[in-house]
Amino acid sequence: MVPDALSALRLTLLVASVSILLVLPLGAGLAYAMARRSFYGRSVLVALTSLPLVLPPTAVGLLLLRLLGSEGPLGRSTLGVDLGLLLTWKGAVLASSVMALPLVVRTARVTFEAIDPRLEQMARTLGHSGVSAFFRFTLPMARRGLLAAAILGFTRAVGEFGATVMVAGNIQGRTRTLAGAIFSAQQGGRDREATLLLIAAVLVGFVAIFASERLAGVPSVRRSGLR
Amino acid sequence: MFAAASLEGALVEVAEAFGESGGLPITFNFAASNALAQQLRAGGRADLFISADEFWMDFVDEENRLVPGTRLDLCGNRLVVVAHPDSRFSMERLEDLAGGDFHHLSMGDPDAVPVGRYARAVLESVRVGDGDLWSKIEEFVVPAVDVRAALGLVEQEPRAVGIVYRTDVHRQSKVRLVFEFPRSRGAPIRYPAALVQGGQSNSGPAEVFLSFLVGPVATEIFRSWGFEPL
Amino acid sequence: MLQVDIRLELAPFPLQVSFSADRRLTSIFGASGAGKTSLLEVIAGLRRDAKGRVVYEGEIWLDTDAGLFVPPEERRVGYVPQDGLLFPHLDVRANLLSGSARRGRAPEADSDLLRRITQLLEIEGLLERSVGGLSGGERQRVALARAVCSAPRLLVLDEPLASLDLPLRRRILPFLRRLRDELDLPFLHVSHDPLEVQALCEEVVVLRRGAVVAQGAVADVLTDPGVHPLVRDEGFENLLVGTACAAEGGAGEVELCAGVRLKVPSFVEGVGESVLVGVPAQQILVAVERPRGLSAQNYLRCRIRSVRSVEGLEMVLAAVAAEGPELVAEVTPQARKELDLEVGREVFFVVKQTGCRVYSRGATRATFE
Repeated sequence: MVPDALSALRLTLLVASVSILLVLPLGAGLAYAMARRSFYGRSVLVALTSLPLVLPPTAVGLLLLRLLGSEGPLGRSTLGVDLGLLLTWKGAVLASSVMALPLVVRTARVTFEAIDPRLEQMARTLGHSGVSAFFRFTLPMARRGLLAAAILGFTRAVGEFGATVMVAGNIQGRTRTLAGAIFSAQQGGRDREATLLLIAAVLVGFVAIFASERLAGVPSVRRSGLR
Repeated sequence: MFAAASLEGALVEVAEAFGESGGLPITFNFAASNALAQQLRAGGRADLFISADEFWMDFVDEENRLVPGTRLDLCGNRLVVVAHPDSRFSMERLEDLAGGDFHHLSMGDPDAVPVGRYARAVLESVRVGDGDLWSKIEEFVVPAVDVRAALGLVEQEPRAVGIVYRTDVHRQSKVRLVFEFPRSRGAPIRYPAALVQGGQSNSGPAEVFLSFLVGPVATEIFRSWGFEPL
Repeated sequence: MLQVDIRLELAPFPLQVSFSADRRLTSIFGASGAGKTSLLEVIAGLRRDAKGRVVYEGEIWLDTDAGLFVPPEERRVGYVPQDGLLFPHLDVRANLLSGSARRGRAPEADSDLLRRITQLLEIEGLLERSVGGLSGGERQRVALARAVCSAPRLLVLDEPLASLDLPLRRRILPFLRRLRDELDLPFLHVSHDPLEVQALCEEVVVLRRGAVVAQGAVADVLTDPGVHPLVRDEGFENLLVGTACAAEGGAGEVELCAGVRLKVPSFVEGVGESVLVGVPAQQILVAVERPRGLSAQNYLRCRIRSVRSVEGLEMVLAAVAAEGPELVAEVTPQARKELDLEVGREVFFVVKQTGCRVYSRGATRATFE
């Protein structure tokens, strides 16, 4: 019972960590593009990245299944290679990444929008290329907001169940995360195990909330200037 | 009425026949029997419960949620092995599952869902080499929340085989029937039914429907869906 | 030399500007909304939507016909926006060093330049401070220092004093002059304040509704009938550069040229230092002979160089002594007629001591009229 719970906790932290490592750079990049650039299809991109926020998680899961199923656009028959995502922990990473992306993008976008774009121009006149200006000035100015985005995305990934269970299943020791383990323990009437898992989930949640409150409590970089 | 998910097709038809014969309309809650049992224990209100195995009916009984003396067995079922229509998987005997050419074995959660519990019990009883069949194939198991979900995976994934009820593939299905579990293996699969304590219409319509369920019309419908008479 | 010939689609009118500035110190003058900031951004390379040509010292920065655009980081323009735009996540020292990427010089040379500029702008004490805690005047000086520390070829100042209140403006102006004189850097300066233009630059380009309407030497252009209405708002103010003589009690004295002294409110600069004095054209009385019995302390003997009618007023431009500075006095057409104020006539410009404004680095004791 305890080893099973520990394995679920370990897998949950692994899946959430890998998800956020994937989603943060991608989400920050998308958020930056949305905040600073106008380009063809921008509003479509905004809608697409927000979609998992408004869809039921099981709908997202079904969508991913259709994409990844052997006949789907990303399936084995179409690609010629097996991405190895269905019913594996990598699939759980994919599902929770997709679910976490909107929160990361939204938080990061607000952060970037709050930074005066002229500061980046200022850095350009001081001899920094566009890339250097982004990494040496904009990114450090956004660090607090991006950290908050990461924590938000991480907690979303920890809590994700609906999409994950459809793509990765709920396989003990392989794809059974905290959410799945709690569901199975309750369904099987294993009350003590369910309680143990509940405590683990509450602890993870508390740590995340404290961390994000501490970050949110301190205002992030504001629009500077006296104009 | 709370009923095991595997009964859905048949029970809906029985309820229609019940309605045509002047009975009241019936509201169903179809799910895995374990899920229904947990809901009943938590205080869920129902008039009638049909479980897919004795275990979960006993579980509710132990909570004193059943009306004494109303419990009866409705019908029986069989386990089968199914595969995706594109798959070439085949087997002659249960032992062939060990080392079989598949990536996933889709079945009801063997810790909870009746179809999974039955299957596991049978597989544990089969000796293969120095151990039992279950320990040989356990690592391929993908547990599903109910038999419909187990079937769904096989419909989508050519490299999965599944263990479901014969009734799930009896009338029409997107999967191929590969193997029927021999009758001699394992305990018989039975669907016990009983009235639930605290229901709204126990002594009236629910009791009438329960006797309709064991009457000739319902028995014929169950037979047409592939259930075995007792 | 800076040559600009550009067109930029802006609302409500396009910016269509063509000029060539030969002097090292040039001002772009115009009311707010005339397109001045956009023009600076085009020159600094911060706008990609401008069409036309920008050439600086023979180097082509923009030529849309040839498809040429030099990115801002390669133009070596030290840009000082009106709000300073300091990097909020860095302290003052890191802000000042943020342009060192361009120089690629040894750290010692870096710290030499840093020391020199922080001394010049008197911000040595701020280096370890966070940007958030700086006052308006400190922010502007740090922004200036940051631009200069990046070793630019051209310093571009966008209304460097506009965000400051009047007393602070008076205090920062001498720093700008000092920077200009010490560093020998070409300036391009944008302002709607004629005083700033006079204080900093030799040549002025006047912009109105997106187009150049005048260009030339500062005093000429700012008293031009076409331009003066723009100046009129704040009134034309003569700006004189003098050398500090003794200052005692509530009074100070500056020498404008050999033998010509002006009594002004007291200041902190020591004897021999350069002092800026502003004399509003409205504050000057014109007399055809030396008046008696007046309380005014200054009687400048001048010869009229030109008289222009501007918006119902007469602008009398006269030179003090042969080599002395020029001043503009404002009189009514009736006074001009009665006194027969014509070119070549010798007159006295009468200036009250308290009518003079001293622009001092520590102008705390400077008084208004």
